[in-house]
Amino acid sequence: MIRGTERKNHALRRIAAIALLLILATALTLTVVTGVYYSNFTKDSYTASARNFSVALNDTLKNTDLSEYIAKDSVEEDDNVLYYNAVREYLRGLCDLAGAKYTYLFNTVNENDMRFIMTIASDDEEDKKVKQERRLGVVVTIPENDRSNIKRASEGEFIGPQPVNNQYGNVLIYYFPIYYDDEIVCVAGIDYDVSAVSRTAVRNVVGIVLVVTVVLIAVLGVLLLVLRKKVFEPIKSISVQMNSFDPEGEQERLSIRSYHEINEISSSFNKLTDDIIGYISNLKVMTEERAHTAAELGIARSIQTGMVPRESRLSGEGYEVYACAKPAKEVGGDFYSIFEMNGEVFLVIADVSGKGVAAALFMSMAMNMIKGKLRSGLSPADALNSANDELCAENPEGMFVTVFAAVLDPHTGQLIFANAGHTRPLISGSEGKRFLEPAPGIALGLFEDADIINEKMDLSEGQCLTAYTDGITEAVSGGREFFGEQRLLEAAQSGSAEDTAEAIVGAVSRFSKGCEQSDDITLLTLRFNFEGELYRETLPCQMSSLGIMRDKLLELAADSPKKRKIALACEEIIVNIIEYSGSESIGVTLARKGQTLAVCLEDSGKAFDPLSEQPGEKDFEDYDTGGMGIRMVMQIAESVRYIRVSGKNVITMLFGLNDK
Amino acid sequence: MTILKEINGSSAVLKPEGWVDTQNADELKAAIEGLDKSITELTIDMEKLEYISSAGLRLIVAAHKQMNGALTIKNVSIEIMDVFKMTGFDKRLNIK
Repeated sequence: MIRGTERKNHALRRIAAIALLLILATALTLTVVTGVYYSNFTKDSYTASARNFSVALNDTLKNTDLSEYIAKDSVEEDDNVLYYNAVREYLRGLCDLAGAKYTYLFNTVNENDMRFIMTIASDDEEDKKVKQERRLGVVVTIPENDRSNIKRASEGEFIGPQPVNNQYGNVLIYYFPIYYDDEIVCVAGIDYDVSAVSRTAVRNVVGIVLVVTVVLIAVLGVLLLVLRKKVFEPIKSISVQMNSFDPEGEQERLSIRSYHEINEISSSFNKLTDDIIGYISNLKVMTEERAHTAAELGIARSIQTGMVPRESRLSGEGYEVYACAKPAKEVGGDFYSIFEMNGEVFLVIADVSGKGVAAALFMSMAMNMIKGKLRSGLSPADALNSANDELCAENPEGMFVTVFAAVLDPHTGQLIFANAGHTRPLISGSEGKRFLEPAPGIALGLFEDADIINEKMDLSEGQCLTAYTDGITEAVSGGREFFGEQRLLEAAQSGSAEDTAEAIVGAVSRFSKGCEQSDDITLLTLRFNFEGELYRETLPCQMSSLGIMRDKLLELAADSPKKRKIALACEEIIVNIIEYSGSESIGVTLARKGQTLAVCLEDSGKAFDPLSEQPGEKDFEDYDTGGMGIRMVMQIAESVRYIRVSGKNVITMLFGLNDK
Repeated sequence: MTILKEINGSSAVLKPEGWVDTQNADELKAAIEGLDKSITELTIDMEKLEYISSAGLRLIVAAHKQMNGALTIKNVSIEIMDVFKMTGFDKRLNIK
């Protein structure tokens, strides 16, 4: 609203001003029209009167021979005078009757001068005066503008009216010829005094115009009053109502009784008011809901960032792990987890389908489930299969999650991993870079029989495993290209875990510079930093291999007082494999680091977990059939683990080399 | 592996030297099973025994049965004693 000193352009004032101008114009026009009409009318009636007068005058003078007077300069003192005076008196009567002010007879001496024969005024005083001043024989100069009129009249024309304002007043002059014996003898002039008539005319015109103007102004006034009352005041009150409109407060309803259109506006405004109040209350509800949703999203995000830190490091003897997460704008469902338990390093990286709160909640559920199962001692594949069963059972939203889970034995570099439909990880090291080719598996939460399997690889010293989510490979550049696996392979380094990760993340962010990150980016690198003696060999599955392994073992543990006991434990296991597995070969890994020796034996024979068949206490007499081996292994080794992976039985034993 | 054998009437002494493992346990087995039926008491002298695995332990059990319990183990090193303890042999064998 414009307020203050600014000049307001009120419609009512504007209309009044325009209407007044129109009225004035009308009055002016009326004045002109009536004035012209009045003037024409007056002239016409004088002309008619003058014509009658000319007929009457000629009629009167038709028997009067004026020629003798015309020739004379004055009237002599004889009966001519009497006759002259009698004619004059008679003509004066006619003049009076015709309402003329002056009547005069004259003829032209030459073009410039006229000679009076007789002059009569209707007024007595004036008549005495002109009788002298314009008596017979007086010659005066014809005014220049009159000369042609007088000439034409002397030639037989009826001339007039000719308005003149001279010493004889405001007059209309007519000239016409006087005949005697059908001959023009002189010219007669008649002056009608129109001063009074003009005054009357002016008075009348002014009167009419005044009356009309006053009536018009009165009508205008009434109209303006009606307009004000029925149009402008209602509009003003609508405007006031609009100004004071407060959607929060009590709203008074407009009740205006006016013309249809104004009532329409009023009821439209009432409807608008109702609508706005309705919309605003809707909007309030919606805004509250939105704020609520935003708060929920914030909570979801803080849950996510609380569960999935932006950056994590984990390191210990033989390994280092670095993980980083760059969440997209919207809450996504990437997560990772890295932890160490019982000397082993666990890695989980996952990507939940979808975004938002649902994805975050599903993520948190899946993450806790998988972590819990790994912590309870399940192998990666068993943990994923078990989690899949639960996720399928409680998944009304039909969400799913791809997972890569792995466990590293940092004593041997043995990596057991399981893949549930996740992107394939990358292996980089001094021997080159390649993608790990895990069984593709299937995302968890989709089918009850996911049948995720364990797989195994032995990391060599300095090798690095990089697991990531598809936010890396599907990062988009300005040219709408995907980052892809090839660029990922090129970006990978074989430095520390953090350097390797940063090299990839840096390459991705340079690639997609200026583009909004559309998906979470999560990356996890594991480096096997073995600093010790490592022996890896594949031996034939026959008894001679026992000696080969034992020799190597005794060499590695030469300084240990427990070396024979360790050899005993290893013999028990390897003999078991040689005698019962049916495998063709035995994979042997011996890894000494400090005062720890790790021994890993694997065979591709039938599945057999010696730990599950641990015999109970036997009678001494029955020991001749065996059953002591595993019992001794369990007592000699600090830990023994068995896992069936990729069709292989893998037994890993850890020994302390110091005597207890 | 060398096994010294000493017969004295109805008693015999076997003295295995070095390592008894799965690969060579059969030698000890043959030595025990090859004893004459007149031998009713057996002593295994472990003075020179450095190592014994479950294959050897099984033979000890078998010998214990064969002698109807008249089996004596002597000169057991601490390390081999540990192996006996692991299996509970120390409680059942006559160890001198």
